[in-house]
Amino acid sequence: MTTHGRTSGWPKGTNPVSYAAKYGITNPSPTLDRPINLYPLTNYTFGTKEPLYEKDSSVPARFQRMRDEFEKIGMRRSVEGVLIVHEHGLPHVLLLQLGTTFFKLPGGELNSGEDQVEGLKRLLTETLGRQDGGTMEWVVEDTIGNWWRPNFEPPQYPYIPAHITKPKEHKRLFLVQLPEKALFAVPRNYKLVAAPLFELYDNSAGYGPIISSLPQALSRGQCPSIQCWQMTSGH
Amino acid sequence: MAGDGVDIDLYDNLEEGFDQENEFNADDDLYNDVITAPSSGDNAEVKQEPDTPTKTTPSVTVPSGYTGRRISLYVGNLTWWTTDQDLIDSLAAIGVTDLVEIKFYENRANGQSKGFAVVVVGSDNSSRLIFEKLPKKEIHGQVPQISNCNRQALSQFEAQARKGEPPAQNGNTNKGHQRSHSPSRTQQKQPFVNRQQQRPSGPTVSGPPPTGPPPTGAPIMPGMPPVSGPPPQVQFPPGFPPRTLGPPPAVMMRGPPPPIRGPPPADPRGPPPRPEWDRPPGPAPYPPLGPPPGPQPVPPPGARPPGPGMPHQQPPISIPPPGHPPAPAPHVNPAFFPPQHGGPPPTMPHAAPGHHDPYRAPPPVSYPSDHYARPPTERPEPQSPALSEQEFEEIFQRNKTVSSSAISRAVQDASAGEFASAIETLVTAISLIKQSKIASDDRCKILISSLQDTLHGIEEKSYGSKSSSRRSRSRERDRERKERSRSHRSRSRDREREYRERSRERDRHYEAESSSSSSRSHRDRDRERDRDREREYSSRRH
Repeated sequence: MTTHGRTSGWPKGTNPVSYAAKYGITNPSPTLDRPINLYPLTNYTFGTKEPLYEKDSSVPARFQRMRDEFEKIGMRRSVEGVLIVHEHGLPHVLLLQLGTTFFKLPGGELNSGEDQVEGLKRLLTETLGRQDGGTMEWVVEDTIGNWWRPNFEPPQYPYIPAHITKPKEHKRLFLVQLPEKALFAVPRNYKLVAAPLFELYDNSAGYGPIISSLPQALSRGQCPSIQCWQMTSGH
Repeated sequence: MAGDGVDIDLYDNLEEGFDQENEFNADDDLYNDVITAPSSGDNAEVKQEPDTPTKTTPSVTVPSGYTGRRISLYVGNLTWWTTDQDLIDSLAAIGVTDLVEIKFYENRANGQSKGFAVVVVGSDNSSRLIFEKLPKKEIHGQVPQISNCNRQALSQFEAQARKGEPPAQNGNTNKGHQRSHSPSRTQQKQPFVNRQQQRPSGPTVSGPPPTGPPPTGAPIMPGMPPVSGPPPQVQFPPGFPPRTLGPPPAVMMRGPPPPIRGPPPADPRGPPPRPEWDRPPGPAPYPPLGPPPGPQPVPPPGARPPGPGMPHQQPPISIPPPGHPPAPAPHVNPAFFPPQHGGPPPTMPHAAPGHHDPYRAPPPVSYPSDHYARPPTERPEPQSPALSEQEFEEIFQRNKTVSSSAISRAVQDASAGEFASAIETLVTAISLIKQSKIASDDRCKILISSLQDTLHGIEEKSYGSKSSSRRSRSRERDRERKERSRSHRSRSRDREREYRERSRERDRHYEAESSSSSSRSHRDRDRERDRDREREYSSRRH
């Protein structure tokens, strides 16, 4: 077992089975790759809470607000969290589903001057935080991607095109390590789904370029970094 | 910085490597008061931002919220790494002080600049300055081409951009060619200046050829690298040719090599995707152009490989304004454009029947010929099998407009409680987009799916049940069936209306039933008859 020095997430009182062996890692070195611990989806409980509506009622309104805010505060800074669980040893990404075809990662816009990690934690709590006011443990330690929006238009790219000096939005994706067990409250207007990586892979038609490239983005830290814990008791 | 009303936190994103987050209109307050139109005066005051330390160039831009005049120009022949700041600097250097906006055309797939942009300024003076002085400045080693904003110029630039794309044959060489070709192409045009100048009066002549590309992306690439160059120059509306001469002379040097390259590339591409575009390269005095036939249709702009005059081969479409002398005629093989041209100029009369071809041909050919026969409406819907980028963009823009207006109208209706009309609006929009030529594009699929989401949402709201998706499906089926047979539709619509009056639940039920089989209509009618009978009985009883 790798010693990850983290107090949370350590399976207590159970006999965890690590999938590290599946990935060919018998002695993962903790110094080279900080392990990412994944827990089974069943470890988590999902409740509901009142709807959390988007700030913009339509696509044109969205871009209009983006324009207005760009005038005032400059480039929009967004942060999104990639929350991963596992099932059968395969990482799954938690996505919020709006309607039937639109998926997004939890996160949102930072206020001007707000720190990225603090802002992400705030947004995650707003979106998925428990309603009873219990604190959520969000461990945000890794950036897994940056995307830029060159114009007030939908396209985003993981680089800034050469002719653009002032991107209109910068989105940063963070890997959020979940505690071993947690309770989430999902706003009623969303469905929370756990998408296996193979579902996202090469599926930009279904999920857009950012989400569909998460498997590649996460692979950078995998093996030996991803440790899938499974509770043997009761499974 | 949250507390500061108008300050921009310029250092907000330092960790991301941006020096400053200035919009165009930052730091321009001092100048704005002097130069901007009165209407933007208050904006200048509002944006009392402190000068940023990085402000080194004179302000050229106007504040946001600008409501003065907007004069748009295309600035092309830029490298893909030419930035907006480079343009701003160049404009400042030539004395333009009322820049409103710069928007680059980009490849949607990867965000790369296509090498041309729309520059919006606030005065004719600035526009004139740009036309006159900007071509004299090099940006990253290339001389900008300026044009007014019109379709032919757009298609020409698009063609030029496409030439740079790695086609099957040439791959990167095209890009190189493109760069060198541009100048050379212009050069080639030079000898044919006369020809071109014949056309000046008929911008359309040159127009169509340049617009060629849009119709088919494929053809352009293959042979067009060389051709793209010249056309742009040719096409510009009267008055432009003189300007084009400027840059071309400079590039003359590179001329020779490119022309040679022109034909060869064209050859492989011979098989024109669009037969109608086959401009007989041969006939024209430009034998070398022979190959183009294939590529020509598309690349009209590019289609003029070495043969400067070739571009005008596109006469069919180009039959530009009547004023045009026969120049294009020689190249044009009437056989290719049967409906169209009787000759270069006469296209006018052909315009009506010919509009078909123009569509096949570069649809955008919107030269001044707009008023000639080429119904603008048709252009947007070219019947060409392949879609040029511009067409694609046009159609996509239309679809986007359709979708966003449908969604907003539907949301309005839904919030007013008129779910039926909201749903109708959305379904119509969905079918419109699906019918469009680019329905299989990802972006359209996203439009369609967002429309469908809204549709489901509204249906859920109106029906308030989980089986809304089922219902929506049956509703769509219902609608499709209705479209098939009018009588059925009117009958079922009437029935629907009656049902709705009675009760929503029952209505839905009936609709589902009727949609599942048309024979149910009999049942409905029977039910109606029964109901009538019941009413009669009940009334008699009382």
